Amino acid sequence: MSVAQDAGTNKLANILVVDDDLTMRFLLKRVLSNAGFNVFLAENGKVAIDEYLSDEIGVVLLDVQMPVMGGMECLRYICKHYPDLAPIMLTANEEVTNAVEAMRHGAFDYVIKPPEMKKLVALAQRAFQTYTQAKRLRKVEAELAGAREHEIFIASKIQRSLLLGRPPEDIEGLKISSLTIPSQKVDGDFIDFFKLNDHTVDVVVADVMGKGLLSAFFGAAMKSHFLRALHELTIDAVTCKMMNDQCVLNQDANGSFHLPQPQDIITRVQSRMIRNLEELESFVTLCYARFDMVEKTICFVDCGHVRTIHYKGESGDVELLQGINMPLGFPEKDPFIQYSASFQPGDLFFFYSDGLTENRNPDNEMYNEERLVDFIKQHGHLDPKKIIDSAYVEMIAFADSKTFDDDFTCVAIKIESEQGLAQLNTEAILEIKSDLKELVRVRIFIREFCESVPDSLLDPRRIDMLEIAVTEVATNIIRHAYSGRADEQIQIKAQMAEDKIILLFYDWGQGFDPQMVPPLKDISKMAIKDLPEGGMGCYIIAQSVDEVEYSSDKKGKNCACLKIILAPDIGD
Amino acid sequence: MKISIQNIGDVSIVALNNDFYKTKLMNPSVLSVLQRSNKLVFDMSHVKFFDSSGCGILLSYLKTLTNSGGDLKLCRVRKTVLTLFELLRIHRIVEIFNTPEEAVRSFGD
Repeated sequence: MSVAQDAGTNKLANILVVDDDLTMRFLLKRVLSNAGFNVFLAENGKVAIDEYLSDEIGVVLLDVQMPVMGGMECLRYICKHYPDLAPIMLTANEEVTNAVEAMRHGAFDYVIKPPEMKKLVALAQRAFQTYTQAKRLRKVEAELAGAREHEIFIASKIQRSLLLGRPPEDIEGLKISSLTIPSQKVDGDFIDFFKLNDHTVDVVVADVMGKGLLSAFFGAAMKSHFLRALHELTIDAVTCKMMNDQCVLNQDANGSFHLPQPQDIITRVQSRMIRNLEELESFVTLCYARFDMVEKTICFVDCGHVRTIHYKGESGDVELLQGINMPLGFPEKDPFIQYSASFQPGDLFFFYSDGLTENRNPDNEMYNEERLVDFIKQHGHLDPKKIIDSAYVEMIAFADSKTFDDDFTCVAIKIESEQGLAQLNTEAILEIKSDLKELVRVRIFIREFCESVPDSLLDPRRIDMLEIAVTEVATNIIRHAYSGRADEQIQIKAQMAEDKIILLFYDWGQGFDPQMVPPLKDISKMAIKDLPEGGMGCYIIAQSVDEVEYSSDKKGKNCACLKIILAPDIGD
Repeated sequence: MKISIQNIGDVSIVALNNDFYKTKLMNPSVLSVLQRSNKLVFDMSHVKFFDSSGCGILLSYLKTLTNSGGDLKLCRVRKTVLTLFELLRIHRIVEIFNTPEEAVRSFGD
């Protein structure tokens, strides 16, 4: 093989000679052709760029002084567009300073004219070898990056499809929301939910140490071990019961069969996986928690995981759930210890991975547990989905980046104050003309809007009262704000917030001052002749809802705002 | 607006309908009854919805009737309407009965 050949492809090396001196061009062509190069000739930098330069050219001989476009300008172009190509500068004696400058800008070397041909050929061959090596290195790097990217792609696919369980939506009184954002590297965070019966759900949040495919696979294997352990322990209990073998395991005093305990599940998983974990020199931190909606307890085994935050709805305080167990994969001899705590409606449990607490800001400061606890104190009263969304926004703001170094995993589990309440965040709008005939539509609108509220929170009697109240408000607007004009606009907005209904009536007529309406006396204590024949509307409105407020803005838009607090058994 | 009127002895039973509340004026056919009789029973079974204007009219009937030594009684009041009466305590000043017969009988007491 000639030295002027690409070792990879065995193709002849292409060399481009750029010189305005015709004699020099042909002289160089002959010499270089004899040395095994494929030679191309250009008379200045512009011709070289326009007609000859391509990825096929491996060496360039570049004269410094040329008309149209000189060697320095052409060099800059080559270095920018063909970074693997390092031209050899041809220079007259008096231009040596230029040549040295060229070296600084990326030239391979320089040769003083007239060149010593043997030396020049050797230099060209070396330049070519450097070029092919640089090119090969670049190719290998690209392949490697591609392979890495592919691994991340597969790992994140595994994570998405195998590692991240979907929270159940049908556990009464429990609302769960979760989020995982894989980092650039992908590691083995996984979460899963096992619904054991109508009122019991197990949640596992775990973090496999290490990154990439290995930990992703490991997480997947681990998850299946949990399912297997659950299954096997359940079968054991059933078999025990069937054999009536005086077996007390998993049976209560009545002999009825119990679910396998979290600590037994963890013990089984650890015994199954300890060898793999040791071989791979990996370990897993996790929190396995069971929510029992009948007992109103959470029962958990914590294995070196970050502390779960228990937000208490009533007081707004938080407690941190921590166990004393070592992570799985540690040669632990002690049995796993399980703890339990009770919860109340309105409480929230926030599970997460260290991706949150170890999130760093541009000053390399960690977010830490303290900040997270404060965050939960502030947001714990919200809907779990909102908490998770806010946490994500908080993390981005802290890191000043949308990508995280570590996986970002969190699960928010809310014990609902009243069932289904949090799903009621809705809004509806009705626009009517200021005509008494439209009152029917207003009433239908309100009735339909109230339909989604469970009876336990808004009983039929209160809906009746609400219907009366909205009729009174709309009637007042038609009769007084618009003085009976039937073609004006009234807009009604009904909003359902977490614990209340808000009704807003907008009009653009005469503003209303409730102070001007004399208070209504108790009708039952009046003489018949003194009974009122009007002016009862405001009283009815005030008595039918929990709050009423009238306001006007500068543009003449009036607003009547009615609030109805959703609570069981308001009574009379 | 059609309003059916039935007389039992000297008591007139007026079956109000749902349109009753829409007018602020006294209904002409009811007014004509008032000329003849001062003992009136409003059968509210067809009134699905009532508001403050309706209450105002009701109270004005009550005033007119008691002025002339008569009375107004109600029967078959729907739950939704009763809610409003309770709110305004109208049920304390106007007697409410389950059936027209009971209401008519109460005039004889």
